[in-house]
Amino acid sequence: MAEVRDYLRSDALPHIWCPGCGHGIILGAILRALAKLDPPKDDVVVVSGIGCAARAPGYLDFNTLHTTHGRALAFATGIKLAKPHMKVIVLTGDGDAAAIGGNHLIHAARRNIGITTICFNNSIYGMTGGQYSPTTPVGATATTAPYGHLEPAFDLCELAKAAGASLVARGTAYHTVALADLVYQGLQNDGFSFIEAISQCPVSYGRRNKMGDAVDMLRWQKENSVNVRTAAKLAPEELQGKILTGLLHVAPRPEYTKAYDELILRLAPAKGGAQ
Amino acid sequence: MTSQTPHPTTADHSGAEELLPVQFRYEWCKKCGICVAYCPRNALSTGARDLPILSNVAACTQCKLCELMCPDFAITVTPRRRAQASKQEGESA
Amino acid sequence: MTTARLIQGNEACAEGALAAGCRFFAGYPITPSTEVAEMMAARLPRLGGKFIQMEDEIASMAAIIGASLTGHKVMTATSGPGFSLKQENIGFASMCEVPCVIVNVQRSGPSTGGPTTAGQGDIMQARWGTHGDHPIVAFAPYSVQDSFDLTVTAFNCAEDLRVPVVILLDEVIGHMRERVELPETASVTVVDRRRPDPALVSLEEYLPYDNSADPVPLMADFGSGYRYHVTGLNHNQKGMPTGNPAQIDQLVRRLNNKMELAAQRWQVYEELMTEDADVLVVATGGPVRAARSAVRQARADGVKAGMLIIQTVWPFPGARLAQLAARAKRIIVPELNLGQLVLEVERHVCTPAGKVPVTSLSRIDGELFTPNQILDAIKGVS
Repeated sequence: MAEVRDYLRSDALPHIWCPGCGHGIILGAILRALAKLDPPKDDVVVVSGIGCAARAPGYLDFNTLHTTHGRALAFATGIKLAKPHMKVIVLTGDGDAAAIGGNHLIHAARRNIGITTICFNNSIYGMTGGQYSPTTPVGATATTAPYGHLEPAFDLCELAKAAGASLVARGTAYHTVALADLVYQGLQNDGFSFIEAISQCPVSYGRRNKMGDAVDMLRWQKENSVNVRTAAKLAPEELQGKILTGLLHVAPRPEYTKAYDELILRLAPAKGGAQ
Repeated sequence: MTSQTPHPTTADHSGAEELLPVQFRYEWCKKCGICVAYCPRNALSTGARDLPILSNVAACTQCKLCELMCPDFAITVTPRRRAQASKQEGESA
Repeated sequence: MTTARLIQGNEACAEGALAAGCRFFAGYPITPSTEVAEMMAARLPRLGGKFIQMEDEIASMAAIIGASLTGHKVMTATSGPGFSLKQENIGFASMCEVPCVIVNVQRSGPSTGGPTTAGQGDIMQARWGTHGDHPIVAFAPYSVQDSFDLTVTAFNCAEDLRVPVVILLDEVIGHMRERVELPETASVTVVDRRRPDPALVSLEEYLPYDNSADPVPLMADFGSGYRYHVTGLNHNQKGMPTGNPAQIDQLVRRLNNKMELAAQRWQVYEELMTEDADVLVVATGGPVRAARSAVRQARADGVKAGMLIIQTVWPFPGARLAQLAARAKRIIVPELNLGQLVLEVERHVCTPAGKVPVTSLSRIDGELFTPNQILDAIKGVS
């Protein structure tokens, strides 16, 4: 079995994330999932947009692509359609995926294209200094919500599920072992997998919202999460404000690039076959 | 990106440092304190210049929680058996 | 051996792309470019290629860049409003040196303008639509045959220089039908991007953004065994982000030197009776035909008129124009806009004797110039 450190571009480290940022923990979980899958490195493409989470691919020894804000899934769609045999992974943040990138998220899910997307959700725009995102809760403070945020947050997993993702899951940086397993399942799914990973931003979000330091924020993740199996036995009032974690939705259906390859085979049998 | 100058690592564990079950890559460590807080056996503590150290070697069970929770890829945990075997090899060489 | 066909400019463009080896198209419907996408949707799967209609113009541009990184020759097609949307990702392709072809079948503007009427309002946008100092090449065909030929040239240029290349058609060229001679695919000259050879360049040695490479860095396909990082951030030769001023300066200058390379290797134009022309008409795209008629009529009427037909709009053929201007008494630039190409003309026609007078002819009502309008300008009576 491969090791996490085999996947790192060591001369690019230490990474740029702040002390205590959850992104490094989540990236570690992703790499452990990959180590278990053990694909050839040359077959792996990691694509990102813009933001803190989007800096992750630069640290990884795969084919890596750091694109424009919100557009990772569109670039990744081109890669996967052009070379369906490649393992295509998108690393995105809450702003990148759900604000500017929202349209590409719902269409990639609708197509059920074979891409595994991990959304590092820290409920803030960290890279630019702490503006609110589509997952910042009502009442929170951000640099562009100095009087308390007015907009309700997306439930990203519900969004991905409604758009057609064939596998949807949620984990947290705190529950890193479970997260690695969810990512592994996502990688194995032949279709669009969406894994939301709750992360902590101690500097831009935690400090401004009096959530303490990274250790405190991780404890908050632990205390405010409920696994979906446990949640099934709880009353709705007990689940108010809780983060639902685990494998939330599995609904296999035809994967897009396979459907297109079948079209080629039908029209031009000599030209068909997976590339 | 250039890596930082490595911090001195042998001040507290002279000689036996490379055989300890918890190895720190201090040039990547950002001193967030998560590993120290999360060790279930309190085997880690904060040492000189706020860097984490394996201060209670006997308490360490190599559960790997510190390695998993470290955001900086700065910790590697090696099972004790392997560390002991390496030490014996080193001594007989 | 060629095959004679009666097709529209948009179709000729698609045929040119396929002949040049394009096997990936991502697009979004927009008048008057939609036929390009429709034809690619029908032809590509039969050739083992891939077509996808993306959710918007921005995604189309992103998808073709992704596919190009895997080694495919790629194209998208749009019109004014979509061209505006694509600009950020066009800049990404330019910065990351990803070959791709963007067809812009111009319509009258600004904004929604006239989807089915003629215009050339995107000439400057083709050069400067995306932010920052960036290289980009643009071709403008003036006939259906030229649409085929210049599309092949566009692909070859993109592969040669690792740049995004724009093809500026317009509503009239795109939708008119003419007889064309389509060559056999095997006889079409095709240029492929230069890739590193594993026998000569190891994974560790490979520099995807090698500043000393001539003319441009070698480009490895994603998945071929060379693993590297591609980012729109300022980056070093390995593709990793950098804040080092010397590295940034070196990168941006090397990128923009591609405009000079394009001028040396891909400058396409035609000349009509320029050897002794007193009055020089400079035109590109749609107005060329009317201008050509006017020039020929002027000659018949005793006026020494000549014409420079610009097919590579960017880089602008300033050097050749300056040579022709030295002999001319007047220059006329008919455009379906309020004066964009003329700005480039004006800055290249200063001679030791002074600046040659330049007349900007504009038509922005969605209609074409008539030959008489241009003839009047040549004779100085308009």
